[in-house]
Amino acid sequence: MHAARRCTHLGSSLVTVLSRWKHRGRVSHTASITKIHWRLSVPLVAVVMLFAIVGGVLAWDPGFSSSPYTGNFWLSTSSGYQAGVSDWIKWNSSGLTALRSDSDPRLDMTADCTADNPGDDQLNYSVAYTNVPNNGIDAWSDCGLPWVREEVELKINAGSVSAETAYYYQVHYSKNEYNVSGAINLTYQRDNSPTHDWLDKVLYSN
Amino acid sequence: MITKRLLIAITLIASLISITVLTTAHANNLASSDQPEYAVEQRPNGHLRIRVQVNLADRVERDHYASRQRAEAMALARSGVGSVPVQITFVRPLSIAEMQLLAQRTGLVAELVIFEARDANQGQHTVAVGGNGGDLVDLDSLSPDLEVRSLRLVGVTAMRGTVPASASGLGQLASDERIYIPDVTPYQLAVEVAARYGLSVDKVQVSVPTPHWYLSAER
Repeated sequence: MHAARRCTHLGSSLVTVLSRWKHRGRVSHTASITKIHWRLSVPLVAVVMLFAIVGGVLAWDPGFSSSPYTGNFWLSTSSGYQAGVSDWIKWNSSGLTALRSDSDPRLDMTADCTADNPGDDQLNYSVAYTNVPNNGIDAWSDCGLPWVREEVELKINAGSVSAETAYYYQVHYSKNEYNVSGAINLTYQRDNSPTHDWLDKVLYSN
Repeated sequence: MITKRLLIAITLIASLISITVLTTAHANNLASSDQPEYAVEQRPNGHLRIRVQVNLADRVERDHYASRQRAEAMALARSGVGSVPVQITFVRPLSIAEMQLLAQRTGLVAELVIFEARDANQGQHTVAVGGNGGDLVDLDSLSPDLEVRSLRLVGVTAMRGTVPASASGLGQLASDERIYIPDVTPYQLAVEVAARYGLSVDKVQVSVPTPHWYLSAER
């Protein structure tokens, strides 16, 4: 999201520069001045475009190398609960290096409602199963009733994670309401930042 | 003459820089010994999330943190402030019966119970169950999913909940040899940060890491 904003900003800056250059051409009174402006403007525009391209590439660099690869994310449904199941979570060697450079990496499974994705208190955390090495689990209430916890963060024990090993993370929610629909999201959270890398999302319908 | 003055000036500046650096380092050491590092996140709904960072991989630092929390819990038990949040990490996995007895004796109410589980190849797994009041957890509801993954519950390795800040409550937990860390950071930080931000304590959520995975792996 942040990268997208940065890129949009670069894009709008480029449009502004081009618009000014175009406007300057119109107010030139003589052919020679216009010619000089043109000669000056071409390298200027080239430089600006070069900066824009380089900036754009940097801005769009996802930097998600520390995110796990999620091979499979699916839902398991019964009359009483809704579960989000993420299988084949893997880190390659460079991803693992990046993971270990994070001060507090987390896998976050969230059902609506949350402040990020307002909805209703449809689902409430019940139980989590995982073989991802961890330093515990937090179940947060993010909106609605304070005792309904919809955001479940797994604190990854990066030092114990092995590269290219398939892990799973499965969270069960009990249903507070029936005949409703919503989504369960899986995200990766880095460095204590509220910024989440979106990994996957599954929709459910009770 | 000029060279001499220059030398004196350089020596004075170097001394000042050294004193400043040493003082800063000492202040940082004092700060880090008082409280673990933590980050605060402000949620859109106005709540605060605090994420505490402790180097659990380092056994010396882990043991130091455990000792300090035990002392803090003992002190808090004498305060009589009512029921306080606590996160407990056990030395070894406790059976459900042991956990229930501990809860009955101390007034501990579970909000989250973490189990160590093992698969058929002795691979390590975590099962984290939301608290179920007096019975702690509803084991029957876990059976189908445990069977699917061929998991066997070994015992309770950590838990989070609330306990009365009294000699018979938190004091008893803090002196129990089966408990490695009676972590009262969730209470202390919530009170401190809530006061600093002008919020009620119930709007501050504190996350503290537990070394349960390391303890299970090292056994």
